[in-house]
Amino acid sequence: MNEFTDPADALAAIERTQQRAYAGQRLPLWYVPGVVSLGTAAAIAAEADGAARIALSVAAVAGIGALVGALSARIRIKFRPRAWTPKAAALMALWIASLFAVWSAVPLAAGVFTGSVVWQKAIAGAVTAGYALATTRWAEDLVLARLAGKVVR
Amino acid sequence: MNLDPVIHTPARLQIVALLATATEAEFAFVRDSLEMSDSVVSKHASALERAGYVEIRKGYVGKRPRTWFKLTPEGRHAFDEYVTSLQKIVGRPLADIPEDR
Repeated sequence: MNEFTDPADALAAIERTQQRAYAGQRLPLWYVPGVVSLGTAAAIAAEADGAARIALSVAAVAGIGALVGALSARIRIKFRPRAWTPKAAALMALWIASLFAVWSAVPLAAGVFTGSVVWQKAIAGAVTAGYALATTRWAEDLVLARLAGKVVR
Repeated sequence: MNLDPVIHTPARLQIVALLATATEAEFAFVRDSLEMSDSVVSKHASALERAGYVEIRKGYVGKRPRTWFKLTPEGRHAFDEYVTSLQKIVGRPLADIPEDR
């Protein structure tokens, strides 16, 4: 096919192409749980002493650096900030806030079963990482549906 | 139809439509998303570059060479005009533009 003969076909092709492009802008599923896990390691480091504290802190910082590096190396398409709408940004902010809410609430619940702050933080990290893993695609779908239109110009 | 002949071929239209969603896209992403061969992407990207619609940037991620494509302001304007013309012809707004845009 050298050119479109039906304008409706051309519009449909644009729509399909842009949906594929948006799908390619999704975060890798491991990314947010990875950040949560490393944040948990840093939080646990704050409760430790001596060599354990230093080792955990260094591991957390190095891990964050590695995650950012891995994400940068994987990026094949860069999001266009103009595509964001207030609704999309608000939904993303709400999802991020929900991660922090889970991370903050789980230690309180875990405190019923264990008095160890380290265990409370470890459980909170595991639950939050699981929550992030389970909801990342759902949150992305909500946000992507509210970006600036199917046909972005 | 009085439409821009530079982007009125399916391959070029798909490349421009994909680039319109992003700031920049890598060569391999364009190729894989559009299921085109390297040579087809290169050929049409070069044509779009000659028309002033696409900017081609070569760089490195680590030691790996990467080629990035970006729509120029002229390219965005041409795509905007093209979509507007199509929508007028079809007689319905395809774009799902939120009211708060």
